[in-house]
Amino acid sequence: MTRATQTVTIGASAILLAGALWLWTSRTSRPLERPAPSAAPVSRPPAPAGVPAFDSKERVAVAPQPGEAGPIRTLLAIHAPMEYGDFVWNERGVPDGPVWVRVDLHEQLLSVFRAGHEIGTAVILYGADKKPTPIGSFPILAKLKDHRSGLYDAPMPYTLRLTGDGVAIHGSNVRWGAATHGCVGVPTDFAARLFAAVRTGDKVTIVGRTGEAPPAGA
Amino acid sequence: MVKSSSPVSGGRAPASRNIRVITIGGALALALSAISLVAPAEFGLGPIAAAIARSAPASLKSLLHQRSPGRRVKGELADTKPRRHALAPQRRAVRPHQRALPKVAYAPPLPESFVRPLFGEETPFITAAARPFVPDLLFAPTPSPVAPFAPAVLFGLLPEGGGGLPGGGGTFSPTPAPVQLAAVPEPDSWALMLVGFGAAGIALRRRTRASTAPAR
Repeated sequence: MTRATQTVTIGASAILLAGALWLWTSRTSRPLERPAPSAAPVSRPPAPAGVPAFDSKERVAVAPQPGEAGPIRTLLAIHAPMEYGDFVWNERGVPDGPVWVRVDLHEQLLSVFRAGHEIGTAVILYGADKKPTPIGSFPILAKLKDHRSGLYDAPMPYTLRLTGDGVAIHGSNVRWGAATHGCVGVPTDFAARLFAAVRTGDKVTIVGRTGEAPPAGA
Repeated sequence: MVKSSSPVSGGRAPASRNIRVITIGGALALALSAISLVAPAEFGLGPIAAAIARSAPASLKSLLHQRSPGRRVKGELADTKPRRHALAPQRRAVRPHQRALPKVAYAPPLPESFVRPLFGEETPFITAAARPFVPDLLFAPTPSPVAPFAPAVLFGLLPEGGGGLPGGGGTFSPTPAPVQLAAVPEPDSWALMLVGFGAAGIALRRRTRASTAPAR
């Protein structure tokens, strides 16, 4: 084989390989743009006239929920969509009682209940499709205030560990377009309040599967 | 309601007491309702009782959907983990390692004491016409008027030299026959191939870094 043939063969095959890889990968590496906020869906219940989007003094009674993992009697009155990184905390007038946490992956929301009354809610991040957040009820195994993940080398303040393999609720930068490796990320300020409100052994229930179809009308 | 405990008061007392009770009770009820209307949150279970009393119970799903930011359309994993060398810099510290040396194209010059007794003082190098084939290996690559080729060319000839060059064993033409060194690519081939693999590596790296996983 002459030198010219060799050069051309090796060089061309390497360049072809690189080009093929480039084409293959460029399909998936294109970042998605955040869609413009559309008009409120029809199914969204309209806010009562004259009521602000959020009134810390207001509460809304909830119809009995037979399928829920814990008691739900009232919710905080929030009549407009929350933005990524938003949270509301208000335990005024709420008596002592059993605490449980409800995480809704569909709606990207977390709610903390005490004695059946919601005392806090936040927009969450959850696991990416390749690293899904597990569904079910989990007792809080451990509370770690200044945890730093060795696996991901990332700070995870106010970690509430749920499973033995590392799934937890912890403070993170909640923003559009982000996902976790299976944890539930909440705004760090909210995580601090949640950390103070729950005890080891309190129940966390995660509902909503990312793969299933959205409810009718949503 | 009124127990006639005082026989002295007679028939007039029950009527006035009734009026008094009604007045006080009405005032108390008014005050309580005013307090609960103005500041329900300031008193214990005020907001909860107010909520339960005021609004018809709504479904949890609709209430949550009202405040939800919506379904996730894109969930990208955060790349928080630094590169491996940043994780373990001590592992990349300089340490002794073994490496195969490349083939040398010439032999190191032999000491004079070794060369001289063999060939005599007046002829440190044998001319091309007279020199035998095998001792070529022993020669230093010093420029010689009779052998002006690069040492690499000389060695390139060696594999073929066993059977003798064209022109007879031991004879040596000043312009060597073109020999293709096919076993190892030329440096420019290497460079081109490395560029290609580098591009492939960059593409792979970009792919793993920006792996998007759109939800649903």
